[in-house]
Amino acid sequence: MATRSILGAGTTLRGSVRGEGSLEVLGKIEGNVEVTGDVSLAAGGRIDGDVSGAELEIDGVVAGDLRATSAVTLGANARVVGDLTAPRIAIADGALVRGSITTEGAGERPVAATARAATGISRGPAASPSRTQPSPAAAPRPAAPPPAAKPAPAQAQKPAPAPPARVAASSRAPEAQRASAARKPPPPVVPALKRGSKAKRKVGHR
Amino acid sequence: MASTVIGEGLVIEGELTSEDEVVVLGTLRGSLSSDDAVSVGPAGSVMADVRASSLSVAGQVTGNVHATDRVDLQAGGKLVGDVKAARLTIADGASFKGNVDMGV
Repeated sequence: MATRSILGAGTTLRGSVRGEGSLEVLGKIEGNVEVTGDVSLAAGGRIDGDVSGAELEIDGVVAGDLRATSAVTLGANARVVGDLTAPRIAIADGALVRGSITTEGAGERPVAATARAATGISRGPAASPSRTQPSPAAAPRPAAPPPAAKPAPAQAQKPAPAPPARVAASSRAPEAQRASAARKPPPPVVPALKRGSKAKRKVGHR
Repeated sequence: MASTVIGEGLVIEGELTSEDEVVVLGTLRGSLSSDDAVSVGPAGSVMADVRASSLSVAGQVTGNVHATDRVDLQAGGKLVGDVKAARLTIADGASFKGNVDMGV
């Protein structure tokens, strides 16, 4: 039977937690948490490590990635530095997040990783860090939910790897041209090579 | 309700320190230190050195125990390790292997 576990406010754990059941953290954990049930982190609680579970209810401080098979809910006191991955993500007014947010199945870790890598370009527009930075005082609320809702589906719809690759290629090509243009100085080096076996090599190649 | 409960099915590896009561119903490996009471439930398993004000064992404890107040080994409980405590009770049916230092 999976019971509910509680880490009290005066309790500190240096190490990992894993297993079945749900966990309520009021204290501090320095290590990873991996449970099959729900994890709730109360205001005043802190987890320095990755957290994974069915449903994560965070109202404390987390330095690490959050990964849920069901949902991640950030309360008003939540401060998260790390990536969020879950089918459903809710961020309350006042919560602070720094990291990338993906509303996808938490089980598809490699997919999420490749999508993230491929959509490196779309990171710019998504730019959750840059949004969180200008809005600490004014509006973390309008800033946070939209990136969760909009960019994520976009990422999901794109068979992301291909288009960005083309974009990257096309964007690289001009770069290469510019680079070669800019690197006109090097050509003098090439003649230096040609001096010795110029004719032979040309013949050989063509 | 105890402030810290390690539920059944949960495995903790590392160093657990607490200012409050700790109840272990799951598994703990590493070290356990509490300013208050520690109790290990029937299904609980602790493979760690334990420091606490008092310790009650109904499950298994493997490791040295240092209690400022008392250690109670209940029926069905199993304790392997040295015990340092002012008071120690061992119930009928409990198993124990180790040295006892009652500060005599």
